[in-house]
Amino acid sequence: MAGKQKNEFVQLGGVLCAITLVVALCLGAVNAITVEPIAQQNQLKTENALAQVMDAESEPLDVAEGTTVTTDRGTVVEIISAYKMTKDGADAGYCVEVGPTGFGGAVDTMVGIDTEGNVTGISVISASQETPGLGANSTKPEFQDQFAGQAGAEVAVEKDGGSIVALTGATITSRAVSEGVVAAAAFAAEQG
Amino acid sequence: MSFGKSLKEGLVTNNPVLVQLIGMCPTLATTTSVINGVGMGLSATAVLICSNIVISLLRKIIPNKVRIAAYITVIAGFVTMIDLLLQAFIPSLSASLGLFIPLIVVNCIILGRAEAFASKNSVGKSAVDGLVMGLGFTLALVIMSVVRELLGAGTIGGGAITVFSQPATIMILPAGGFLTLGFVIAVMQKLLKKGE
Repeated sequence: MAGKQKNEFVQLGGVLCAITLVVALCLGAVNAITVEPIAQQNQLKTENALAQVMDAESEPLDVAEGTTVTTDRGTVVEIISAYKMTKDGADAGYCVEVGPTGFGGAVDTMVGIDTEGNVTGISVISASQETPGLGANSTKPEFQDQFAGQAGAEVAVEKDGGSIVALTGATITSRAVSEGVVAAAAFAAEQG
Repeated sequence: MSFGKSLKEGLVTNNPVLVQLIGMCPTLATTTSVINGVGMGLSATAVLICSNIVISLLRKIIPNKVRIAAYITVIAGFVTMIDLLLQAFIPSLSASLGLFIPLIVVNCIILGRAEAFASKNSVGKSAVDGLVMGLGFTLALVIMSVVRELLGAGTIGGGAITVFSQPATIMILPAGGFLTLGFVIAVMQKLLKKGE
């Protein structure tokens, strides 16, 4: 009896193992095909965002994973990546990719900060976790264009005493992006 | 059963969403725009066809006691493949569907058809079942997303055409999803009663 039961376990385990193994092999094959294009897509996204916020040459900086900046308002903002910008050999400031927490998750935003600490432009790379039709509108130029030319450290939505007109029905997302810009400016200032 | 009859069953009389009432979560969550609805529907259809074929092929090998674990492994494998392929080749769709692609794994339509159909029928029949049920799911998503996008965002075709500029935003929020689903199911029931 005991032997029979043992046999059954071996058989069940064996079949499951075999299925899992085959699936894993297939996944490995698909991953091998797609790993290159996915990396390219991500690279392209970052490059597009960089070109959008500042017209200059970029050189990536080493940012340790999990680096955060706490703004004056007490918001903790993750720094995803940062780039040292140069134009015609001269220092042009920094581009900082931040991930401030919005309504549904991180709002991945690229922020350009010039040598004076002013915002050259921002680009919301992904707001897919924000509410469609509300917070997700943060990827539209009408919203993003307001940030260019502002002093980075003082950016805030109107409700918080700043001059950024928040998106209708999406104050939290608008505030998150603003805090992200402040954090990016602080990070750039730290770099010198 | 002829293909036409199966198709009618999947799309109308036994529609997975509107008649069987399964797969509600992706139905409510991804129908905020037509592009998302179609993307979700077709991705799920692809997974459904593949998993139905493989599960039907393996139906005599998979022991009854561990069948659910085996089905989920197969389904999860296909979903991950679709996820990677979308990320690599249709990144915009992958970005807008986000988390809902990996969640196809737990879409009850797929496990439901594996359990109710593919594990008992031949490969050919299972493939047809996967196709018609997938199309039924897609059709339901398209109906839902057309209504919600038009009323909630005032656009047609993922913002291609703006119809009016003061939309009722609630329709693309979760509450609007439930409202739309209720009305669509009610209309469907009315039409089915008439057809009898």
